Amino acid sequence: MKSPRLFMFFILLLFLNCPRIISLDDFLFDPVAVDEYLRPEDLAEWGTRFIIPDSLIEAVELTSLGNRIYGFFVKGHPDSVVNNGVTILYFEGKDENINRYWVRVEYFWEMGFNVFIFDYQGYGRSEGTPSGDALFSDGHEALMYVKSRTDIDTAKIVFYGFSLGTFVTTYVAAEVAHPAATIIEAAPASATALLRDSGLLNLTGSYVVDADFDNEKRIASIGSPLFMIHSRDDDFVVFDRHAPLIWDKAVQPKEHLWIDDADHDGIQEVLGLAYNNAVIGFIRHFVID
Amino acid sequence: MKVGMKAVAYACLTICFIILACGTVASVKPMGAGNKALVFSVAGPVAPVYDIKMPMPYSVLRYRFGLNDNTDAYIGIHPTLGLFGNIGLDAGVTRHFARSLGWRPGISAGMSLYGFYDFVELGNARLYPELSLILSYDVSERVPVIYFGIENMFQLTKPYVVPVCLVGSEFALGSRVALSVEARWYAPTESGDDRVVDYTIIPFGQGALGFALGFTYSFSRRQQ
Repeated sequence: MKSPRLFMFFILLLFLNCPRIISLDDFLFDPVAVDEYLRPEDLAEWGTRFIIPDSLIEAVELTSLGNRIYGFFVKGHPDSVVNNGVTILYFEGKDENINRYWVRVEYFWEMGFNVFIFDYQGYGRSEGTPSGDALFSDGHEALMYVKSRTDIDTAKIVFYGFSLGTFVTTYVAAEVAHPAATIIEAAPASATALLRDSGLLNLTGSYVVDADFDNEKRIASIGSPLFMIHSRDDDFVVFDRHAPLIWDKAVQPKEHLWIDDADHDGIQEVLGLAYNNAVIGFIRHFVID
Repeated sequence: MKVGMKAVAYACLTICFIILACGTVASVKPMGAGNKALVFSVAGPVAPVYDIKMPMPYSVLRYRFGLNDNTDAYIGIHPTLGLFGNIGLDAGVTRHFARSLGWRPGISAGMSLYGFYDFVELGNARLYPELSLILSYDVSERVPVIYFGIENMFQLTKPYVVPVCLVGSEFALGSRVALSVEARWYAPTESGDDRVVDYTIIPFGQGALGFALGFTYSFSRRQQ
């Protein structure tokens, strides 16, 4: 090498023209494919109680970005006539598939609400590959489906997002259609906040992630009452590094439920019936009454 | 292929943490006026990539040159960050105030400026100054140089100062090539628990422990 400066200049030129070859988006998703949903042996490990009669469960197939995605519409507990008027559109988290979240569907069913849950692209039986755009499209299609149903009150659709699903929740609420109410549980503030959580420098998420995941940015535009649920002992989306960032940007009306001693996905287990009462109370106050 | 890419992605999630020290190894011996060298280093905290616990591979390629007998300057590029479609550059100077003599350590102080630019979303440029202080023992030609010290990177948001404590050794591999090996304690002032990445070694629950490996090729014979 005759000239180190020439070498460095050459390397720099290559570097300046380098497109994004890798990104961290893949880390955000942890799907598990299945051939069949709701098999008892698959549900048991997640604490499912098998309390919903099959007659109230309707399998649904949608198309998102050309891929088939799958979901289930569950009619609420027939004893809760008032709550039956509300439909929860549930946006699941980053792990597994519908099977993992079926226990949560049972909670909502028990409360009397209708529920629609679906798998993002690449999750469960859904075709495709998860990505920011794919999830946003899936959320959009899921809402369109729920709104198309003639047997529900489409003015009483409540969005409920858990963890990663909250990014889709706020996207659909802010940029597709405002729901009657929005509930986000264990919500990360943004991809940027997640990045800063693993490191400490104030780089933005766009340095390493393509997905436009940003609850902090969208929360003020959801156009509906907000209920935030987060554990101060969340060991993954750490409360202090995420919840206040969203809460401070949210506009009224907003309520929160901060609890102790629950990990990232253990809030229902720790709260028990108090969880049901909190969700029902919020929805009755802002949607039903 | 998918699993492979996921492993790469997971490994690189720590990029932000790794940038704290930018994958560099310390400069402990003066280059000498007019001398030039290329330094390629990889570094990062130890974290699991699936079942393998390994230092995360953040790389830096630096061009070092001696301004005078006791001061070196360098510019560097960050190839790993380039894979993400961003640009990472650094430049700085290292002043060698005293050479190791007996029990008295050699003293080197450095001042760097790191610049990052996000081509994906314009307007996200970042600049981070860094100050470093390294003490070294260079007992004889037959014994590797032993050094330890601290690097502090600064930013305008909390935490305002992000330190890295390091201890390392530099081995001469012939007259032109040297190998540096360092253990680095990233961000010992910050809690290492409940981070998105499960760092493997978290001393006293603070920060994360990692390692760095650096190769230096001198275009002229190295000073002793």
